[in-house]
Amino acid sequence: MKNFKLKYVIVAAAIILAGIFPFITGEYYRHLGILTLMYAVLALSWDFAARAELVSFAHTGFFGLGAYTSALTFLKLGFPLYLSFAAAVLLTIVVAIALGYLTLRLSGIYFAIATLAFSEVLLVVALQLPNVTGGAMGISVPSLFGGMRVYSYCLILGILALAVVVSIYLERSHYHLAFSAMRTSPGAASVLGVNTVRYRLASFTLSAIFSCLAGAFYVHYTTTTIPYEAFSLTIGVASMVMAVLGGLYSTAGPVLGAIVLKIIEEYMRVTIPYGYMIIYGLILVAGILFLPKGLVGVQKKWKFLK
Amino acid sequence: MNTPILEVTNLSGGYGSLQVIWNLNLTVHEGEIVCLIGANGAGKTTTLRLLSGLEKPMQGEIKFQGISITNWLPARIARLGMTHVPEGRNIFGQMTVRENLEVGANCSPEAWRKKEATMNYVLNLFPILKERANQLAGTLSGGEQQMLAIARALMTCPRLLLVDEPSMGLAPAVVDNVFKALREVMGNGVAIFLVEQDVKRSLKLAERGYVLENGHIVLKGTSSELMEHEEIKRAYLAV
Repeated sequence: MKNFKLKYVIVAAAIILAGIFPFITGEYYRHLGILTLMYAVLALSWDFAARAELVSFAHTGFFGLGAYTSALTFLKLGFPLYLSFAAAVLLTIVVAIALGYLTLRLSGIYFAIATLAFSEVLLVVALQLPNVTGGAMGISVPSLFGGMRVYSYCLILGILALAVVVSIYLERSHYHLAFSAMRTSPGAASVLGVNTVRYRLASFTLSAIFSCLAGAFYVHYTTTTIPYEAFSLTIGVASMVMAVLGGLYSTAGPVLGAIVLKIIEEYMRVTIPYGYMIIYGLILVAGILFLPKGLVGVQKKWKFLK
Repeated sequence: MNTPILEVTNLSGGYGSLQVIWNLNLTVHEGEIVCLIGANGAGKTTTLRLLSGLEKPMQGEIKFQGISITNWLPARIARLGMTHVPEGRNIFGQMTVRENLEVGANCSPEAWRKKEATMNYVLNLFPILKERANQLAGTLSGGEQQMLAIARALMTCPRLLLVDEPSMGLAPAVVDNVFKALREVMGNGVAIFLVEQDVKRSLKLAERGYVLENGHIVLKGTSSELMEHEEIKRAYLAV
């Protein structure tokens, strides 16, 4: 009973800390906090797809699609900020469902390659339509909330909170049953009435929505982006690594993975001027070797955290 | 006479360009047990996979409860009331026994509403599962896994159960239990289409049977007729 309470104490402490963080720190840490929360959204969104056993590289594409759609509707059509977010989400839903119908019947590696191609195609489109997208020069938007980082922090924290709510819903509803069943045996699940294509499409679309929101936030926050950055595969790979290292198929795992990796990365970048990525890579390898269930798997070893 | 719940006409199928099943015709009536017997590689499992939608037929028609379900997705067929208990059981090892059962109940809103009642029914049918309810399914013994596979399929509230090799790899005493449960299931109005290598046991349980050889149905009849048939006696019953 005591242990049961401790878990809630930790969660409550984390929520309070996340809430007061921007008010007790300076600009540098606020900036770091914002990027960390954005990566937490991305890692969680990657996990949504992973729960339906989808290894997707489309997140990069949806991140860039969100960034460009939001920036362009804001600039060229004069949409207010939140309407430009909504426009990006709507377009993402349409594209995700269309892409899903085309690719979700593919399995494993073929699906991964198809989603990779999707992201690359969007990159080429952004580069080849300079009249609309600004081509390789990229786009610039006015800074978010006049550069007030506290508000930006609250916005991305709100998006993360939404992702967490969706994630908890997925864990507690019939989605959880269907996803776990599909991961073990898609055939056995389908003859028991689990519509595998529909569940995959749902998880893929939800996952796309949150990548898109992260992208839309990103472009307004950094005020400028270029295709090679918005459609960079690093984004998709980083979210995958954070989800895996934190612990797949959970809410806490990807969020924790994003926080820990972002802190390590930043610490290394500051303290080791050259080649910090090598050390960072070694930490990842060690993490995957010694924590096969991710950081949240550790709590099962240390029973008192349960 | 009962109306047929399953009617298969001229069904052919296989994998890629390899045809395994040739012009199958068979019927199952409401609430009866019918068995499909044959040697290894005769096409028994393929037949079930075609029926439950896991494989697309090359030609022919499958009618279930009077509705043509040819080329339907497996999930849709399951929701209409035909549930497949796959060979090798395929239980969800990382989930608890109770969660495995809930996956079955998730099949349709109707099955979900009846979840508690159905769960009581299947746990009484297989009391051992009641003791194991909160255990990971992967930790169950082979016999218990087979019982779970059947119980899980029953959670979908099926009208027809397709059961593939329930005796595979099980001790004779356990097989007796499983077959007893199948008889009880039939007693509750669920039709069963049973695929088995254990010909003697199957014919004792079923009312009628079909004999599959190299993808063709070579014999059919009531169980007692088949049991007296010279070919069957020689080839399968080793009399």
